[in-house]
Amino acid sequence: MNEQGNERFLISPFLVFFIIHCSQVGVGVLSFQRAVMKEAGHDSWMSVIVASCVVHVLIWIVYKIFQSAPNAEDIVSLHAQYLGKWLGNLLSVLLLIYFFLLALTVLRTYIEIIQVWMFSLIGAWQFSLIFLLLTYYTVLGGFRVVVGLCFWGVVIPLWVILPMLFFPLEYAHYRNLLPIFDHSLIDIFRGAKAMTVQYLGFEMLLMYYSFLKHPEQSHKWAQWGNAFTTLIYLIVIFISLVFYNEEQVQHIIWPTLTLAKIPEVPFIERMEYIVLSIYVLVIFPIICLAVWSVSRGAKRIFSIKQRKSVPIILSLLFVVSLFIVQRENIEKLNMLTSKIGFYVVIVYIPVLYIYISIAKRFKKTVQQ
Amino acid sequence: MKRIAFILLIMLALTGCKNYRVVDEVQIIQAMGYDVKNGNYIGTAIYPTFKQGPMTKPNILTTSSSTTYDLIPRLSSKSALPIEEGQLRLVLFGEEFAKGGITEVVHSLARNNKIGSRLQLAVAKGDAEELLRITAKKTLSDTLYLSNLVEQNIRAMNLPKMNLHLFLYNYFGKGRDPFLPYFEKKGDFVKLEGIALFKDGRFVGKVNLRDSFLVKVLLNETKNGMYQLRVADYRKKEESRVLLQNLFARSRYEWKKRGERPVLTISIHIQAAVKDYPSWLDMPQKNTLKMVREKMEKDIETSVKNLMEYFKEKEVDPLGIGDFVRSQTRNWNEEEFYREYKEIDIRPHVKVDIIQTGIGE
Amino acid sequence: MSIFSFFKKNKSKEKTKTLPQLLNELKQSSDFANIQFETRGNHISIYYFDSLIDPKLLQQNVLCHLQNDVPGRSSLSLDDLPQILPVQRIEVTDNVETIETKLLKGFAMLQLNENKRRCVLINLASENLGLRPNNDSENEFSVVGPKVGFVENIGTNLHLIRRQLVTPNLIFREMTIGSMSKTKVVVAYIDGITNEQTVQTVVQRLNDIEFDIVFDNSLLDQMISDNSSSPFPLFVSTERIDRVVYALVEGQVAIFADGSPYVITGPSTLFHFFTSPEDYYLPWILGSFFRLIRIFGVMFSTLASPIYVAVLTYHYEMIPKDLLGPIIFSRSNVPFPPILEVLFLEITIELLREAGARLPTKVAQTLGIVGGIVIGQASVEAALTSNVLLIIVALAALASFTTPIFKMSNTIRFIRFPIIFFATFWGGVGIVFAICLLLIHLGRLQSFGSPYLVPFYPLRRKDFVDSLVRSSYSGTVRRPSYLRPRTFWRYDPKKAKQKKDIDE
Repeated sequence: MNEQGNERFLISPFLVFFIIHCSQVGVGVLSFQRAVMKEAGHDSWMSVIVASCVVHVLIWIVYKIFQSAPNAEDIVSLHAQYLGKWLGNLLSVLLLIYFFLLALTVLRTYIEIIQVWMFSLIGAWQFSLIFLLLTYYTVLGGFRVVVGLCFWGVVIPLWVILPMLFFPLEYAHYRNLLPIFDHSLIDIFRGAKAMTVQYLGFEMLLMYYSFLKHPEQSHKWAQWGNAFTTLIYLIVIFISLVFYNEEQVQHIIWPTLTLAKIPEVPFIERMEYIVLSIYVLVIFPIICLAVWSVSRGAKRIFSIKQRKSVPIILSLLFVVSLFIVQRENIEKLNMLTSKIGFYVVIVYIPVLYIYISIAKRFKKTVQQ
Repeated sequence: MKRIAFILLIMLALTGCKNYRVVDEVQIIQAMGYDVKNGNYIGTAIYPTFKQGPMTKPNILTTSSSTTYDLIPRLSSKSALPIEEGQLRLVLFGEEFAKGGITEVVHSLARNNKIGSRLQLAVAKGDAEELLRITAKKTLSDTLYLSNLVEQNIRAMNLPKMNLHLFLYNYFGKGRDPFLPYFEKKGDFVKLEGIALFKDGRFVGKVNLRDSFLVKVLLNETKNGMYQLRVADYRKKEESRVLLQNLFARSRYEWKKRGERPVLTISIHIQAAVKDYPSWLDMPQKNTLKMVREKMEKDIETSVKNLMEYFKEKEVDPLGIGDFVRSQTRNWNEEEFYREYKEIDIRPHVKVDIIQTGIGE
Repeated sequence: MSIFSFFKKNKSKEKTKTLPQLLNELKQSSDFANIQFETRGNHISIYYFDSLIDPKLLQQNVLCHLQNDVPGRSSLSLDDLPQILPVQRIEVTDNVETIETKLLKGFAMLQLNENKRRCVLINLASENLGLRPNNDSENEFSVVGPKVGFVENIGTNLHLIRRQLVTPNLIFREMTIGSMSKTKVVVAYIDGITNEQTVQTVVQRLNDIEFDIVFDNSLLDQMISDNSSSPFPLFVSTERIDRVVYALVEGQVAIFADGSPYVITGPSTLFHFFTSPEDYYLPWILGSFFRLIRIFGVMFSTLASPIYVAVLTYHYEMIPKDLLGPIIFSRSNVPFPPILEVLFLEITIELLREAGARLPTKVAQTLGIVGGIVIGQASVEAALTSNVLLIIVALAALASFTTPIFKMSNTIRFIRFPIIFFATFWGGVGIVFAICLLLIHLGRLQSFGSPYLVPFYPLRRKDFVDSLVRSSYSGTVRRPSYLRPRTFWRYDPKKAKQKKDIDE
């Protein structure tokens, strides 16, 4: 951070827990069962755990990167330091484009879900306009406000949505989990690959690292955040496994939402409408965080004021989301983003770490 | 800030609300019937009207078409308000229709986001339309009569759990077949007659209400249910019945494949209460209790065996035995299993504990 | 801008004013009195505002002593007068500006002989003239606990506080605000507890105020607030002494203004507005229960009618089958869409409340009954609204009145309307949009620089003891950390937490 010592903008380390968790759990939770169960069937929960372990390591690597380069504030200056100005900035810009895609994907996918489940006649532009206006208001408040939203985006859905997921256990067939290890390791790893995508989002840590008050202390919380995400995914996959069977899931696009059709209380039923509505609170922080990351990155690279860049980013998001209408295209967008995300976290982050540690050693030997 | 608020306001003014489905300005159908007659599909919908009071007055709409898909849209052409299926509680299939296969309809229900998972499906002996008309008549006059009836029987009586979700679960799942409640017209009333068995979405057989208690027990979800037991007095040569209320039942399966014939042992443990018994039976006496118990055990054992034979004969697996075997064996193969389904040696072991005889003796 | 510059010009003129000029100016007013007399060879003239001083004080404390006790020497100087006159506040000055303000505050100016430049200012202000002596705190009533409330007189108010907080650390900092009202404003805090930065902020903000007349403390409230375009009140304003004392002890700052029976305390959090002193007078389990009820009331009040609109307009699937009949039936003859129906009733209730607040108490009661029962029943029978909605709206209105702080209950009734509109346009999603907007807004709010949503965000686990619930007194030994107090412990935690073994 340039304004060093300005503690007002920094956030307590434990809030990283909420940011990490919030940025990982997005629209994916509503539909990930299909992809994973296609590969690993009723052993999918193992895939969830395997993928989680990988992400734990990746988070560790991210922290290692920043520790080994203490001068770097965020990924932009890190790039500039180790890869030179041109190459570094190019990579940073690519990363920003990825964050932009992330926001776009989440936004468009969620709007599609709303359209399918609730308002088939209301145009997508209305929802994206509202989302983006709210995003504008949030991001103007600065990182602290974005984090505040992350906090609420974790806490409120946790109290509202999670309890609903346990109602379907009324129809649980626990035998579905047996026999354990019916699938080969390769299947499980394939499932884990499909699952890793669901953990994406934590890599925005690369952008907001400098906003943490005591970055070293926050490591623990980041890991806990990921562990909590794993727990949520495990609960969802476990309930889906006992509630559906493998073949049935393949016929349902959003199994988690269909789960919410089961709970019933005397004064209200069909909870999927509540889940969908409350899901705004899950989606919204991700968009805010991604937009904030892009604008922050733009500030660091091109020194554009965030006040100016945010409206540009938002209008760009709005325009692009207008052009993605068909379900096919949305699916393609999802595929594209998850593929890029997958390579960013699985390939790029470790490579960067290795490169930096080698470069450091090399520098040392040169100095000697 | 002000600009944002301004834009928001303008947008609000511009957009309007296109998805209005105000609850009293739509025709909420609560039950739907499907029949097939002379190759034409007939759809019957019951919707309530609340003009006079909160009590419903059921109305009926029927329409016919050559496909099942456009039955609901076609209903709209006969209705003053747009038809909405979001509160659908029961879909009734006529026997003929069910024999022809209900897959298409069920798939379209499963795809429809407005339909709840707790929707009841059922099969009617004869025409679905006829049955629905009976429920709409003066004596019953309840749009939810059939769905409440099913739910009540699931909760308190002999019907195993069923709804749209479970139907789809059994339908799609390997190693299990779906089943639905089976209704019959009895004069001015509708009577639950048992369970209709399905194979690949086609109605293939039925189980009577007495045996559906066994299905419930075998599905391992029983907290209640009624079972009548024949007892005979040797001295009086008179046959009487003991009514047992099942309080808790557990069934455990065991799968063994030794040699040629696979063996499925089913151990059933029932904790039952005696509800009613003939006056000549001296219940408090130990011997009588023991006699009833043993009689019951034997009776249930043979009934289970017969039931299983029936399932084998119809090649249906509503109990999910295939699924059970899948959970016991690695790399289970559906086709392979059902090729030798008929060969399975079924050995039921029943243990009954009588835990109550009521408050009077 | 022009207003401010006008005042600035005035000020610069005053500086050049001389005493005779000032007197001439004041003499224009008929209540500006002047007594001149000779006593033992001294020529004395006294100027004062007849309407501001207490004539009894003038006679007993000034005139009497001047006539009897002035020594016979003609060498009486102004500086001797403070010893002669038994008046508590008396000073000798030649500063014209001081003379002007003091005269306007009820001081009398005494001139001796021909010395026209210096004079003695004697406090003769009649403090309680026209002010009510006591206040039963009926606007923030509590069944248990003291009933004494603040009054319009700042002296009385400070006295009330000082009497309960017997500590030399209670600091009053006085300042004058308002170019025309010259209102005495006092900032109170406890030295050694309250964070100095907070005090600095408060004093700074008060000093920065440019305004003509301070009618009430709530004007100051708005002018020193961190975000003036928020519907949420950022500071608690109360007429209860116990509330202010508790706030001071917690480490907050209180602002008193002369002429206002309300005291502002801050920095406040959202939860301060939902706590009632009674929570602390009841056993903690009951206190917590009623506090939770109040918070539930707030949520119900803001969300009930939006949810009604959303469910009936878009999500009829969510209505359980047993409720479907009653709801459809009650709406079947209503010609309006749910939104109009809701607005109709909500606005009716608002009108009733507003009319009730403006009318004399006895009329208001009748009006409440007429409005509540007759209009409600009639509108249902005329099929303008549905029964179900009438119940919901009435309950929501009731729930909004459970909020102890009046400003907050206004806010709650206000924010319902935007949420209703959001619900009309986008159903359930719209409601959550509105909730999001609220959360972001609340997250951005600050009260004297400290976050408004504490202890939720930023999360302060230890501060939860006195937020949603009110823990027992052994649990609330620690002052809330968001105030960054200089000492954390209210009393010895060890003694408070000490537990005896059984039978000991």
